[in-house]
Amino acid sequence: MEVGTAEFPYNSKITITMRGNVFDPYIPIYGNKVIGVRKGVLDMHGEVRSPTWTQMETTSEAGSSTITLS
Amino acid sequence: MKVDNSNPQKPVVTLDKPLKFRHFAGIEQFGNTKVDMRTEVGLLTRSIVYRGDPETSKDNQYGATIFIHSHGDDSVIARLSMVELTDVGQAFKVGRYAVHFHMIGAVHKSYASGLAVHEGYNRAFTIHGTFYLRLMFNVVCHVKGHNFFIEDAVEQFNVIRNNLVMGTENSFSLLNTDQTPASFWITHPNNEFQNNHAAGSDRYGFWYDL
Repeated sequence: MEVGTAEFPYNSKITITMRGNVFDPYIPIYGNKVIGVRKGVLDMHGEVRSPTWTQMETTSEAGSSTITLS
Repeated sequence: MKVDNSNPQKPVVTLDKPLKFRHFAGIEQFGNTKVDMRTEVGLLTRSIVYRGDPETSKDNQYGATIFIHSHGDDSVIARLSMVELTDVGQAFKVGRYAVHFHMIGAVHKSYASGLAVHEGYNRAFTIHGTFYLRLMFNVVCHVKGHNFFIEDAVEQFNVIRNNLVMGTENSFSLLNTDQTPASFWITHPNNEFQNNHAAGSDRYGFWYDL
């Protein structure tokens, strides 16, 4: 299964929604409501967002509506 | 939410709602040791969203999962980057985690990088019988049970770097230890953990069994 590659990421928006519940048919070991991969390749690469996390530069008090990132 | 990027080194974010609590951002010095106490801020949205259906997943705590498994070194490849996973994991089911590498052996070509996993019901990343996996730059928020979980204590040579885990929640529908969960549950010392941050867990940040 492929949604973009590392070289050409999928930059448009896509939502993959999985449906089902615990009593529905399932594949042994893998279950249901699942992307299960056996002896294959799964590639999923979205638009690069960097950095994915950071830290605050200065303390923000309760009630404040702004934060400064580092 | 607005971002003022006029100084790209120090962007200012204006929030939709005011902060309920004080968010501390200091670096404390104790003798020669500096402890970075600055509040972490993670990005949870991505262009690719993989999710359980919004209608039933939350009520049933039964979300979507990704399960990578076949026997034999490098018998399967999963390369994941910049994907958002939400409403994931299946509570009450051992083995049904958001991202699960299961009994493969070596996975030199596989990695998960820059994923955002939030609102999860049964762990985030599980490494089980798997070696040489790379997990980097991922953000995890509000996931029940152990979040980065090395299962059997045989797993080695995995690289877990630059990940952020926030708000690990206890689970009463998994193993006993998940009632006192760890953001990073580390069962073998021969795995590389570097520059990971754990913030606001219901119990442990880093749990080592050495």
